[in-house]
Amino acid sequence: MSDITDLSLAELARAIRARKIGAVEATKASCRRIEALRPKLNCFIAFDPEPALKAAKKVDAALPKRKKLGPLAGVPLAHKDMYYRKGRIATCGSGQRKDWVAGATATALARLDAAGALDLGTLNMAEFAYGPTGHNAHFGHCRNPWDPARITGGSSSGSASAVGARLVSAALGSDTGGSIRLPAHLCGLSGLKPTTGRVSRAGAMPLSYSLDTVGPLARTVEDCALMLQVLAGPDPADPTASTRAVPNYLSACRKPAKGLRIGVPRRFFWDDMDKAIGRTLENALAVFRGLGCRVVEIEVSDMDRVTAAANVMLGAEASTLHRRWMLESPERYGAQISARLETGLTYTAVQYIDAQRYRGPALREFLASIDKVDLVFLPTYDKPTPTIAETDVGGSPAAPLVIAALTRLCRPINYLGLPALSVQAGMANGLPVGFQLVGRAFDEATLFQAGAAIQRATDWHKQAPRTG
Amino acid sequence: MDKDTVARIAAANAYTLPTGRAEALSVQTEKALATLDRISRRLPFEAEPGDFGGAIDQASKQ
Repeated sequence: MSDITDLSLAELARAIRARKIGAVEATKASCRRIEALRPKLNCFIAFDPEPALKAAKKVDAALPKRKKLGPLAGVPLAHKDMYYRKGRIATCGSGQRKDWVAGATATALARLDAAGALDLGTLNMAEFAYGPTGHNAHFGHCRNPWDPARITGGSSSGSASAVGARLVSAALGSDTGGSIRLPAHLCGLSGLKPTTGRVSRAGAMPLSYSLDTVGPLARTVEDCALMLQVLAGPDPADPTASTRAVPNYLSACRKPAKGLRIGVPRRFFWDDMDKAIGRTLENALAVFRGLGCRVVEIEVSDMDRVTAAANVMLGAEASTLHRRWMLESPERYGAQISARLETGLTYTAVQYIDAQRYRGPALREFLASIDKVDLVFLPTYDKPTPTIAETDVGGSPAAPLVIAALTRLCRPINYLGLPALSVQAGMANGLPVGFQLVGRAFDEATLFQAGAAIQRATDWHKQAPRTG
Repeated sequence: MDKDTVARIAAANAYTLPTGRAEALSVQTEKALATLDRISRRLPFEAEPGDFGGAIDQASKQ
């Protein structure tokens, strides 16, 4: 592995700014690795290095002149193929939109552009972000860099595979029911699902108006903080984006974790835990104790109720968005998304509105149950990473069970709207494992504080797959 | 919901479910909808969707 592609996002950005590494040099290193590993991992949908190389040359020319550049100047990235860039095809991982050209650029991409980041292309994803495994009937299944026979998780499959294999140092994903956190866990990464409303969704393909969030996958917590620093903030193009001030997330990463109170709710979240994963998570909790955190067992509200309401909300909203295509061109859908969209067409208006009405009380109830702690520690996924073959269930009767098993520990947090950071916890069963830190609304800073502290104390985030 | 109701709601959305699908969906969604029904019966009369926005806003100020 080349030294450049092994650098984290923050390390690479600092090295380019300090002119220790050229932006063109970094971009070419990324391109070489993409060309070598893209066929094996199938993580890119479109790879287009020329605009990035052109922009990299400009960065290299500007640096000696001491021109003010953004915090990500010259850093090559790539993003899930659901972020629109004006004039570029955004397939959304689908047959319906395989040739669709975006008319405007997503706010998230525009902010990364303004920060100086380069864009090498679009990454594979579950069809319309509606699948947790990484299978894709139109563009081929995405592969896990730790073991190409195993799933990456989804729906941000290409983002996790590309960042995990060190093709790029960070990528945008999206999280409606675990689609950032689950792939982060399965591919050995850090990944942030921000608070609902923290990051603008303008120009990002919608799946569920109520549950969608935009966030990064990266190799370190500091990298996630750096990405959120660039992405967060109000946006006239998205009235649901919060106008709340954006704190300094990078300074939060430098704070010690000592004194933080971490709640661990065992019921529901540990009910069906794999033994090896359970041991890995207990080890992570021991590290937090060693850092001076107070780890306490807590009881939280009924997650089965939260999950039921979340499923109805997601199903009804996704099917509302897709109904026209379901009627006009159903043959362009893969079997699994087709079956899921059918489900959403069978909910009544009263059921959907009840799912919405319960959301406020459910959040208040959950927050009351965590009022004695600063953050909550949860598993991200509780089973060994499945193979692509054993989860290739399409739209069969087994599909709802596979989907529920993969998303069970993540989905409730989307319904509650709270921020959640998946952090590497080491290895179990020979593959990477993560945990989630869940915080209060708009308090991503405390998650970064705890997550960065454990990464200073461990080397779990430095473990890399042997991809060649 | 029973399979006929499932098929009727899909049809109200102008969508015809494939043969046997209504019965499968009836079984698949039974647990979630029963749970939602129990939630619904316990919700305060005044509860409304906008409560969530208020709750998340207040939560961040605590």
